[in-house]
Amino acid sequence: MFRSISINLILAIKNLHTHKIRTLLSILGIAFGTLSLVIVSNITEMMKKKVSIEAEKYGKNLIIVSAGTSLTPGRGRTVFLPSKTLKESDAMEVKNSIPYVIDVSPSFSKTFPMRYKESRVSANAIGISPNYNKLRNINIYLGRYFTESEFENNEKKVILGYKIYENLFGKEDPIGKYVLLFRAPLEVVGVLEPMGVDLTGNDQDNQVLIPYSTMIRRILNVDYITSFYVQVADYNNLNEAKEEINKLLILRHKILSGQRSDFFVRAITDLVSIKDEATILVNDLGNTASILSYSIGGLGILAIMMMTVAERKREIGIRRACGATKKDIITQFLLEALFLTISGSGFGILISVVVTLLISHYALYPLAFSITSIFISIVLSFFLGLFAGIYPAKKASDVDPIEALY
Amino acid sequence: MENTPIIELKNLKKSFFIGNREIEVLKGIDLKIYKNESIAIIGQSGSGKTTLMNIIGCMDKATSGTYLFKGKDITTFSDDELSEIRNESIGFVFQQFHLIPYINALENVMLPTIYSKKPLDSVKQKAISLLTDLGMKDRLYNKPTQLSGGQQQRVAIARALINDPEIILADEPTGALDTKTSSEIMDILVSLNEKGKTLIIITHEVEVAERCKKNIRISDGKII
Ligand SMILES: Nc1ncnc2c1ncn2[C@@H]1O[C@H](COP(=O)(O)OP(=O)(O)OP(=O)(O)O)[C@@H](O)[C@H]1O
Ligand SMILES: [Mg+2]
Repeated sequence: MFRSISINLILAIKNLHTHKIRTLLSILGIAFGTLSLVIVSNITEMMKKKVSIEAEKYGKNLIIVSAGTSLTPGRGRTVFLPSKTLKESDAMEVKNSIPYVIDVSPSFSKTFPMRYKESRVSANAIGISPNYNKLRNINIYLGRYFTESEFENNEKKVILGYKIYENLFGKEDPIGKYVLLFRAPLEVVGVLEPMGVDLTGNDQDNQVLIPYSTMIRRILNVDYITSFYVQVADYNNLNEAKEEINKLLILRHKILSGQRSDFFVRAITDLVSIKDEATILVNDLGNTASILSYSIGGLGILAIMMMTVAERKREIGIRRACGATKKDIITQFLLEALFLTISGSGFGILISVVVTLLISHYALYPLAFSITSIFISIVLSFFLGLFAGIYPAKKASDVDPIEALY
Repeated sequence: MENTPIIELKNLKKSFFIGNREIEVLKGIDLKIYKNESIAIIGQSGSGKTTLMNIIGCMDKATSGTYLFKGKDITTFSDDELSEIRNESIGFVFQQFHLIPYINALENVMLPTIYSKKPLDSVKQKAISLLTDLGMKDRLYNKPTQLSGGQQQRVAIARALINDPEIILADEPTGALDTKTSSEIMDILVSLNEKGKTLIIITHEVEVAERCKKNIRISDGKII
């Protein structure tokens, strides 16, 4: 059995070899169907991976509550009106009354001019609470994070983002030096590693971190915050927690129904939704293209198989004279059809792997393959091969050997 | 069992239907062929020689009558059972050679082994040695179109021998060859008979018929 299958395959390949162009054309449909199926799935997979990497980089299971109202005046534009109504007590209440929440971290951010000697930059200063480094992922490049007492005593200390450090200090050691934030002198205790733009669109290399209480009591003297982070214990409770926070703050801020709220709540997963319109469109197009190509490809192989059976009646007669049963003939032509569809699919997978590598390389996506879609395309091409092969194979087995030989 | 015929036909008839019209081509054939005989079946064109050979070769079934193969009644054998007999016991040689065009001589010779139920080893070695014996050592990897008619017929004979059949059935094996090549092919077939094969040849040619030990003449569907 195995021997006859392998010999039949070798013979099939030799026969296909004599019709190179025809063979290539016949598998193109299947190849293209596989290509679009696998590529689209790979892209989705890469996007998912990118999102999870980004989300992981940002912080674990986070919800961001920001002060302000977002308006959508039309044409997809979003306008953001800041408000001064979000308080530290809102954050504390969220921590105390919502069960999924394990920690909160209030912060205040504002852009200031910053100076060291003759160098000036504009920096996004963020007042952070002590647990900030537990919620957000930050890595120290030089120096250290703030100490407990620096937080408690509202000390005038600062950690610089990487670009700020480069622009102000160049190659000079910044630790222990004083920079001016607006008019306040701050001692540099650390520098952050380069981190790039985060999910909310903030350039983390262009920010400086200051103890939260220093920021709001000693530098600004305000009684509100601009945002707070909420960490949820379980990723799966992210959306429920978001709803609860929304409800709680609507109550606390006495927002009436129909009224715009003066805060907004986003889960980390909202920031990087992969289900945007473009992705959906690409997905739909890809799937339509692959269904179409698979159908056309299947019919193409059916046609080629009918042709090959008609052309090879004499061969069928010879094989029957040599002892082939009808079943042997059916097996032979089914194998040929399967070989065509599966090699078409293999060809498509090969190209899609190359294209995926290129996309990953040039679009800077993390490399990911959808094993499921590769598996599906192989199974699909197998059944397509059976479908396209069974009728021609039956026809072949019905060829009258005597008629074919004389 | 020395006197059990390898092939025994009893009152064998074969009719074809063209539309509603029945044409009786074989009108009651009685024939015994013994092991290691060499028989030429001769007769006029249209007398039913090929029809008879197709039935002997298990490619076709008789309309009525009995066919005993090695003493066993195979008249009602299924298609699969007849295929097995063709594969194991009968080697065909055709006037038109009937080689598969897209594979080489060696692969053509090995073809019947695909369908063999017997465990086989060194099929390739055997095919090479068969072709070598027939003077085709230098043509193993040629495609049929790269071979002369005589060479193609040698390949076909090697193919007929690969599964060690008892019987060689040849329908006009020299019909498409010139006189010199014809006699070479006949030398080969006669020598196979001398080595123990039962040889059945259908022919028009007196030269061919003369080289067989026994001649059977068919006329109008009957042996005379
Ligand atoms: N499949 C068929 N359908 C109808 N008639 C057939 C069929 N096969 C053979 N015949 C007829 O049967 C008769 C015998 O044919 P057959 O081929 O056996 O003759 P033959 O003796 O081999 O002749 P030749 O020497 O020309 O090869 C012919 O009249 C032929 O027309
Ligand atoms: Mg004939």
